[in-house]
Amino acid sequence: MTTTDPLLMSAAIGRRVIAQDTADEIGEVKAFVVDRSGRTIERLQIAGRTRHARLVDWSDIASFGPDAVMVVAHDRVHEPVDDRDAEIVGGNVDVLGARVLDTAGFEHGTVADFEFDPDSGSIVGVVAGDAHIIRDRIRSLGTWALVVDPD
Amino acid sequence: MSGRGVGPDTERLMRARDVTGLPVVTIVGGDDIAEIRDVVYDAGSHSLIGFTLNKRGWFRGTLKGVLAATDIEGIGADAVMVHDDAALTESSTPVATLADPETQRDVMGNRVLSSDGTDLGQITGVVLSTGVDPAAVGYELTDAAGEAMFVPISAQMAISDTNLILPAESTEFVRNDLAGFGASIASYRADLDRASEHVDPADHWEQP
Repeated sequence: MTTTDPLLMSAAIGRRVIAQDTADEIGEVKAFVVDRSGRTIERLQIAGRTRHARLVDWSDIASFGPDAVMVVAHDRVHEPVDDRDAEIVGGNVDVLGARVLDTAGFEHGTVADFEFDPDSGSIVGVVAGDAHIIRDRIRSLGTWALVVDPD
Repeated sequence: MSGRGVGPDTERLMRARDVTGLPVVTIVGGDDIAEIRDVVYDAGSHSLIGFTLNKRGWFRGTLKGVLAATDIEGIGADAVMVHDDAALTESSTPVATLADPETQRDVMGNRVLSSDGTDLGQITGVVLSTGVDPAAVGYELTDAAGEAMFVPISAQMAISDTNLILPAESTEFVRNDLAGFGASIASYRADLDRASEHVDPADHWEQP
């Protein structure tokens, strides 16, 4: 894969999700499951007409295109499989809107956006108010806050 | 950022009572695992030992676990930071020490007198330095006029059940605002460091 410009999560939400094998539209991007380190996207939550939450692993995404997210096969969509999925889908962990807290115990507003690499799913940076927080300063994302090293 | 703390050009200080109610948050998880209930302070040695805790959430109540000062990574205006949840259970300070400090004396309400016999006021609080190595660094007093005053903690302080004597060398560092006290404490510590550096080794030699 080639290196591409980072994408903003807020811009990617609502993008169509399509299965490459059947060409069916599975749904649209609803949310991102970011791991506890706060540095990697593990899965996408897909909005659709079913009552149950549906997710697709980042490793099953063939391409995060400008108009659609291409999933390798329609049967790769699944329900939450671990606690992290449940925390994000259940709203116990905020991703966009998360409180930003430094390791010295001082708050710095909330997360306005995450920048991510559409090829790898790596978080590149965080936008919080006027501040841009680079990936290396991110320590964790949990039920209370996105914890970052002080500026 | 909220601003109850003071700094960063001076010692970053907080009243101990302002720490009460703050969440205890893990750096590796970003989770709020407890809430500060009370400060455990040893008045005999004028030292911060740690904090007792409440549970978080709707069904909050007292937590059996305690948080030793040595396990704290930082105290800010918005949270007390620990590395992970082992800080509440695997403390290097025995739990019994935190639950039952060696010196049970309650310093609150004591009169503070200068070494020349002047009554400076009554102790109404403890002042903590925050950051990676939190410590008790001062007392907050209320003087006869009802004004706040801050005095540095000194190893030379004498304390009884009712009085605390401020050594003469500490009186010049007394301030009436927390911001000023932060700078004062920094100067006080620098003076102590200089004093310890200037001890002449010959003073310790035994003459033949």
